[in-house]
Amino acid sequence: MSQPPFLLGRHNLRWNTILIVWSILFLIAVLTDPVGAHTAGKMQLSAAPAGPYKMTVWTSPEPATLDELHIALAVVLAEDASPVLDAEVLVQLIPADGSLVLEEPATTEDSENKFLYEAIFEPATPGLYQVDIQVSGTDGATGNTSFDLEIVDDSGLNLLYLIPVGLGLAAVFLLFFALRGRGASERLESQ
Amino acid sequence: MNSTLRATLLSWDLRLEVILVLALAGTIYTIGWWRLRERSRTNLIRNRWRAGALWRPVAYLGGVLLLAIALMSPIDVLGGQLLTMHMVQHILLVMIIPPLLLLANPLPFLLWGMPKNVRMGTHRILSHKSRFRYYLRQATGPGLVWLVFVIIYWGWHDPNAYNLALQSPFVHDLEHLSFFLVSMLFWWHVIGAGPRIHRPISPIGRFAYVLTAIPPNMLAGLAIVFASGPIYTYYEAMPRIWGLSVMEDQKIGGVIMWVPGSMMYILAALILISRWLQQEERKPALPQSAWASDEALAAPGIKK
Repeated sequence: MSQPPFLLGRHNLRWNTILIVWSILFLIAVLTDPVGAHTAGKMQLSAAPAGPYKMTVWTSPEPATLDELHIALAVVLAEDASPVLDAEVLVQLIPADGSLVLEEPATTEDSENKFLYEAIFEPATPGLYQVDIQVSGTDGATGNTSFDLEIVDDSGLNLLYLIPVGLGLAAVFLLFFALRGRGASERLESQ
Repeated sequence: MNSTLRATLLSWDLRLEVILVLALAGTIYTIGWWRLRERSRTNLIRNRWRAGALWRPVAYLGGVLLLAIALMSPIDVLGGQLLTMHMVQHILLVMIIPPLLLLANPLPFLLWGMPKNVRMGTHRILSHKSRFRYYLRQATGPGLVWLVFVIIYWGWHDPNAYNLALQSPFVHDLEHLSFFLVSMLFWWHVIGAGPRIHRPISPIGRFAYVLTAIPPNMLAGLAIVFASGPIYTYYEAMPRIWGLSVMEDQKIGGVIMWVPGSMMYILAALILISRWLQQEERKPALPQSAWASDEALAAPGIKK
């Protein structure tokens, strides 16, 4: 039987390689997306007044962890709730223990949803933080709002992750041995 | 470019896990289609329904492309901001993508795209004597599938479930996965794609099966359109875009669910009737002696 051009060559080897590489990539893709960029996360503030603006703020993941903390926010005009997309937004994480303040600009470029601003932090220490957000519009108007956020140390092994990892690895090994067995039996037949 | 339009068009969420699954599904189908097309070249059956017909990969890959659009484009990203966009996404996942994929009769092509032992293994578990086939047939009967389809469709439109899906990425994915899988089962019975493990449904039965899905869809759409206040409170906190208030967005979303949603079922029913009539026309005509006698003309249909 003729093969498509992209399958010409050592067919068995390619199947093993393709499926195993694919499975590993898939596992990595699933496991490295714990924050779930396609939803904004846990709502911390809802239409909070900030000067002439109102702000809605989400954090993810939930609970907030040291690994990677996403702070997404919507800035709208207080008068008609229309989105403000060209403001400068600065987010500060102020630790309650008085240690180093973390500061990041929040931009629409960093957000999947371009109607939201997003800042990404990697806090070094767990504990209680005050999240302070300052907005400066192009017309010079400014607004400010804040909320408290508890950040936990989640660097330990998360047992929940072991389930998909274990199932994924089992599937990869099964595929490998199933395809390997087939290759061996065909080699035997050809001898 | 207008800043709202720019933000709308640039709101993409390119998810590697989705791309990997869709790329694999598309590649395996294309390989299988190529192999079966090569085999069917020697076959005497040469009509547009033959295995290697070009419309099959076009339909399947079109479905895969639409799935990518539904899950990663602004339709998905802005679905968290506008009910209207979320309803468009649901229509794609429930009423457009599954029929497109199933029209291409994917199972044989996917199997032929895989190694021989996987193909033979699948054949074994779907063979007539297999217990798996028996349980699968019992668990996916048309009546049960219809009921589960309606329950899932209604269930996810409950305000609590819907709001939860918008807050949690895991629940959101679960919502879309359940919509898609149960819709694949629903349309499987309508289209009659492989594996054909159930007793075939008559053309009239399929027609009725599709039409009975309209009232639940209409009821859900009407409930959303005529609600006196915001049903899905999550949207109240979101910035309003395109000048739509929460209630305007809710009404448009409900209308999309009600009208285009129902139209998809009606369109499917019309296609089924049309194909049935075509099949009837292809049947050979009765000989004149069978219908032109004095007795037959006097009392048609009554036999001695």
